[in-house]
Amino acid sequence: MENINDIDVIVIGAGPSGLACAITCKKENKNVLVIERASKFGVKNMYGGAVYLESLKELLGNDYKNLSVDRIVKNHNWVILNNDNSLKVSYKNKDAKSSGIITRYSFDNFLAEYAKNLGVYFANETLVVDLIKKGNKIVGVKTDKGEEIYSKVTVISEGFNSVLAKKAGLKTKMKPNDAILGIKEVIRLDYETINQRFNLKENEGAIYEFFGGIKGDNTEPPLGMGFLYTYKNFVTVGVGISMKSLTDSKTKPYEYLERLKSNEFVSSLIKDGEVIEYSAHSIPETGYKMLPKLYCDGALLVGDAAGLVDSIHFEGTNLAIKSGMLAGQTAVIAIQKNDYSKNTLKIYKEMLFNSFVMDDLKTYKNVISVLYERKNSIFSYYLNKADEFFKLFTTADNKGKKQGYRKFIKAFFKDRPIKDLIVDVISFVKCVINAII
Amino acid sequence: MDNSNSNGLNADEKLATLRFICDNKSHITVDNNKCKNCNEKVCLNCCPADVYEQIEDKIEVNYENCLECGTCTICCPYGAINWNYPQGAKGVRYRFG
Repeated sequence: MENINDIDVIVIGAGPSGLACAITCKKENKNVLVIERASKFGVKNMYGGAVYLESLKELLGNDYKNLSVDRIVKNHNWVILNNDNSLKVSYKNKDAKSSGIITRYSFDNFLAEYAKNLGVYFANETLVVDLIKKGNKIVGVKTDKGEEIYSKVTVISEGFNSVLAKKAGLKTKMKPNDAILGIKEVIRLDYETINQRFNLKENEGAIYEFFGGIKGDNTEPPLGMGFLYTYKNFVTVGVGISMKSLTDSKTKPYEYLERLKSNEFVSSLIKDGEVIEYSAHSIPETGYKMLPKLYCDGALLVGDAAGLVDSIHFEGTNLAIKSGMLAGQTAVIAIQKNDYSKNTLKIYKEMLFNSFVMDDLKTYKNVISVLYERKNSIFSYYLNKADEFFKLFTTADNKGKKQGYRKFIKAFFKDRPIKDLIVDVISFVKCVINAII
Repeated sequence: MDNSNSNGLNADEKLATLRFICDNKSHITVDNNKCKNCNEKVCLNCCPADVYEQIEDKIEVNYENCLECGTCTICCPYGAINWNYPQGAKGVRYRFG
């Protein structure tokens, strides 16, 4: 590595947020070093399956078109699973082109290659074991190879586990309520089989979100849901389960996944496919209410490490890229001003709050806590009732329809305390009001 | 576990789909003194790779199988698990992700 003594910005972690930051700084001719613990890019990362192309366009301009995705998302499905009954809402938009389905391996490598070509330095196979402090200010990093590397600004983009963010005092330990464990399998299927089974043409892609169908050993359903993404020659099937639900039950994470896979609706989609990779990764749900400190003297916190994930819309990479870009812009301003104190670095937080990132997190700030509080209603009671309604609607039992509807409505109000229904309505209204005001 | 579907795999089979570069020392340590008072042992069922195993009255760590998700440190109510990243280049290597 050249110019080791002349690094302006050190970026810890070569995921979307770190690479977006590195690219932004390098475009302004700053010397950037990205330190990545893995031997190859993307091999430590995992997600459901889609990137949002608008954020990439903002970062790379027209060069974003060079990204070759497996499929473009044209079809989005929401499916309620109740035993082997299912209720599906499907939305198809032929003109949709805002999100692409691509592996994290391909996506992270695309961004890293782009950064390399711009002249960003990379130190792979290197773990940052500690931050170097001068007084309260972070001035560099110590690596597992015994090196000490100094910089003007250090950007912590180490992802969910955020070992360094905790060391820097930016973040406290997360609790089971604050995170989701995502696990999934990559299942190989032919290109033709995928197009036929999912009713897709050429490079059209589909996303499925599953509600229900993952009941554990407890009587209470877990707070979690399933997903499926279609790639070119394989599909990914996974579940996201709240860590709180994992601690409350003896059911193992992969048993939830197997339950989803063996549901009739899901198993017909993945039939005869070969599992070629199993993976796990966690998702922060700290959101707006538990935002960590985003900056301190000499350092900025971005991406998953800062908890910037919108778990309602399964969005993370775009928030990561935006936060990385804003951190990069802040670093450039700090270098111009020759001031790396909190005083200047706070610009990052201000810009983040003026962007869609904090806007989206704020929109859904109550939803997560409502999901926890009303878990039984949402993940059990209403899913069952939806199933019951459609069963009633589609069954001819020679008893007269009116009688059936009356019975259904009566049961809707009688099957559990009316208080629960009122609390659900109030919670729902509160979420909606919060989202639109 | 229900393995009746054609592509249902048990935990070992799932882990066998993965590539690891094994570190020579564990990146996870467990303070078994703290585990003595623990009845729940959530580490035994929250880990997606069955890294934790109870052998007699001790929790053993099969760190070679770790998928680096960090669930265990968050779920352990006694803070008995000290988790760090594996050394550079070591640990799990996803091919798709």
